[in-house]
Amino acid sequence: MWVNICKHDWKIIQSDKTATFALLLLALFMAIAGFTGNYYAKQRVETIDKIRMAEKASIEEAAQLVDSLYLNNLPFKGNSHRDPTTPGGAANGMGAKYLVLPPSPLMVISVGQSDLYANYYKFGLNKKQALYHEAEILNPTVVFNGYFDPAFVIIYILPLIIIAVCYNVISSEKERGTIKMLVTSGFSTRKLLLIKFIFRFLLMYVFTTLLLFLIMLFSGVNIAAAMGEIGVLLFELIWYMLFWVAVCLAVNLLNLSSGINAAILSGIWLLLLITLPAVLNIMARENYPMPSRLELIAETREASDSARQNMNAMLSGFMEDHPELVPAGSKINPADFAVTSLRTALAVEEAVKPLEKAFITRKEEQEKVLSRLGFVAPGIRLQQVLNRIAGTGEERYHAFRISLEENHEKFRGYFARKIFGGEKMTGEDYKNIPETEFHEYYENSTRSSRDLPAAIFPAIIVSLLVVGLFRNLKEIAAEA
Amino acid sequence: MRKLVSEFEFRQQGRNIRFIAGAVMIYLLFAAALYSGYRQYITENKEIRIAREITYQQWTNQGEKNPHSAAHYGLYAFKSITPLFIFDKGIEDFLGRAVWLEAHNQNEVRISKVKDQGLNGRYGYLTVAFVWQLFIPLLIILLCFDSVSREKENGTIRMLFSTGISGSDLLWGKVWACMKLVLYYLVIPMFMICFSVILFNTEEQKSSIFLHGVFIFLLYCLYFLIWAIFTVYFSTRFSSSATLALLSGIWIFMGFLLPRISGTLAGIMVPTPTAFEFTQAVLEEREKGEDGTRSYEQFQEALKQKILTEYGVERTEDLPVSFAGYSLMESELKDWKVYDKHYGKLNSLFSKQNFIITLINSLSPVQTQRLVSSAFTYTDLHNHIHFATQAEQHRRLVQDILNEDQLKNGVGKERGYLASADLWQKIPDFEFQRKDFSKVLRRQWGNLFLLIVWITGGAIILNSSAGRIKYSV
Repeated sequence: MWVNICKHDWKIIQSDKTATFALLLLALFMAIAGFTGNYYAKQRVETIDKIRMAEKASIEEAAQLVDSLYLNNLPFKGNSHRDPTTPGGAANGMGAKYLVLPPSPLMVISVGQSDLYANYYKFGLNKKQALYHEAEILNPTVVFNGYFDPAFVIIYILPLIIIAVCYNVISSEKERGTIKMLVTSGFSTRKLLLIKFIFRFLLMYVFTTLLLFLIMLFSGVNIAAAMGEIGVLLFELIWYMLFWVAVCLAVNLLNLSSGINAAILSGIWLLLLITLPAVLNIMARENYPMPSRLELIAETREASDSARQNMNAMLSGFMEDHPELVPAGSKINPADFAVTSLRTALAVEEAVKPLEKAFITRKEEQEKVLSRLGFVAPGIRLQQVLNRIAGTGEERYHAFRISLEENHEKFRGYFARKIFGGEKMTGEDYKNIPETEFHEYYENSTRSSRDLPAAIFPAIIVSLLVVGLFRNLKEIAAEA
Repeated sequence: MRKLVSEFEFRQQGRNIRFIAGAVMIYLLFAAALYSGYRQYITENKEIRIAREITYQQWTNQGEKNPHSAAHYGLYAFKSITPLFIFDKGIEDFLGRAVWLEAHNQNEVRISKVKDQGLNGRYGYLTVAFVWQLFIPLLIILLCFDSVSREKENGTIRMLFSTGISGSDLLWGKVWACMKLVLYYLVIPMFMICFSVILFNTEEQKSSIFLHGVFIFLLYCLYFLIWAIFTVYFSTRFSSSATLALLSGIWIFMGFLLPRISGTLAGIMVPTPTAFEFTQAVLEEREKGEDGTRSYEQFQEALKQKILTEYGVERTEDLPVSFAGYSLMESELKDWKVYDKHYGKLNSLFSKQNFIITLINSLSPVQTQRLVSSAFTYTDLHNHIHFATQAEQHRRLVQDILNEDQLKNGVGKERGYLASADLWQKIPDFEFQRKDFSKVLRRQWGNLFLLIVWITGGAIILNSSAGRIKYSV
């Protein structure tokens, strides 16, 4: 029976220009989104390659330069702040290292937060980001509008396509007069309707999955390496699409005209994907207001001023506090520029640590509000999940920042010991500058067990609503 | 006749449940947006004021110091916001608020709100302007989607025409009725509430804020008129349900899909350099000159020869000015050219991207209105670039004053020279001067022209449809 119903429904879809057009539009949008995702993913890979090459070349050049200076007993005549024979000059010049966030296999799916945060840092002795720009250089108007990536198509456009395919399943039968045939066909109307919706859901799900696989193949994603992430993607897609199909079924059961159905469904789309997230944003900001970063500027200066004023008084204390940076038996020259700036930077970091922590805590609290209320705003939750599997989510950038602290500490420590020990840089020293490495601190990107209820909850709620609304079928049959 | 139709429609639609429910919803969103905008403005304005006061005080309290050390200590330039921010914060959350003005480096304007808010920051778009740009047009659609089709479907249109009414009177009557409803019950009260809050909280010249407010109000009236005209037009062409479905689709496309498409395309068509490439290029050129052949040593040597010849002496020690001061001044001049070139290129790439965005967005009055609205509330990219440029001018002024002091007074002592605390007072605190109304208007003529094209185009097709409607029933 169900095969016949599906065949019949397939013919209806084929004859329904809106549904065919919607599916074609989905293919077009996915193609554009795939291209966009691939463009940004490729750009990141290329940039990382360039960084690695430049870093290697600079270290090699510096090693050669200092060796030849020593060999020929020549002084360095360039900018003293970048003197490669001094550890301070090396750290701020040719010995600079980069910490890079490696791209994830499914990066092509979502640009995520990669347009807001740094994807690489250039280290200086005291600067954690010695580039002119904190993060990637992008037009703020473009960043504000967001990207047309696969995540956008899945979260915002796919529901519209589902609406276009399913908004008139019952109403069009009514408007065409074919509902009589269905009611009198001898099959259970409820079953018939469910088969029609399940068939449409499967059709769209398979179509969307196919498009996503095409994007991955086109982008050269190593599918075998990303099986876990792809599994999460397909799983999440089921529940998200099922939710919107169930919403369509519920609205269809209200027994209204096709146009009104479409308008109501657009309204639900607007409410769930645009209005509620904006209201949640206000709630999160009100409940967990951010401390002022502008005031942090003043605090940082205050700390730096006080560190400079107490520099001499603090010297012995400093040596006790930082035995890891001061080699045993070394005599610190307090007037040395590198020594002063390093000590100031360390004091400032110590002073602003609690404030920096407050920012992270508040941000996490705001994120929690979004996660907790994810079931009322399924778009936000899905965005979090897609960002996570694409390696462009908040957790990964948080881990990147932790890694930044650790790597920079290692980098600075290496040079600090030489600065406080009054050493010079040799060619060998350049080769021994610690390599940077990012650790994936956060749990597996495929983590979804904790999120499972949030994923399926909205779909279940709407399904229950549908069950309740099935009572309306009698009325619809009676009208027919 | 037109007035009669308008009056009748006004009274009838005013009792329409769709209108009442929609208006209630909009007022709720308006209240949330106004509250949120007001809170953010008050908080940020205070933060900027405090940070500005403290950092300037820190600057003036430096005590005796070498001018170049002070230049490295630097000042901060803060971008103040106008109370118009309460109405429309544009893309301000995505832009930086403060820039560190230090020696040698033209730094990026940093501290944008969105970076501290994580994913949550992406949803902070609810402003009064957002409600006006998207939700009021939606209400207009809900009010007018069946304004003519309903008359056709019920057969009442024949009765109407039998009274001798013209097609034009009927359609424009419907448009005016819709406008009256929206203006009387929503836009005017909201404008009065919102701008009272703004005027009450402004420390700036009230007349300027008032002028901007009135202009913004008039612009929005035109914008709503576009929606009313097109909705009534669609209603003459399609059935009620088709009009509703079609206009909902258009509204979503214009409001949400188009900006993503245009931004993404602009980003791909006109790529900007990566942060890595930009820094590499600037540093390389600063160190080695434009042709990449000169060294720091050569630059210093050339400077030395130049000044020795200028003063006719043989040793720098015999110069009547400080060589360190001279070298710093020349080095700044050299670097400024590099920054002007690279930041100029970057801004020109942004301009090209914005041009593509504007071009594609001309398909949607929503986006055009968004650009115009944020321009007049000083929350757009132009205002930001204007700030960055002014801050950089101030940085250069600071470097000039400090280096000149070193040049004149550092003779013999060179880097060991300490300037007295009075010198820091000579450097004024940075005050951001926004472009005045006429300059913003000049920059926005293209977008304003687009809005006029939409209205004129709409009026023409509505009138042509008015001619046909009588014969089609």
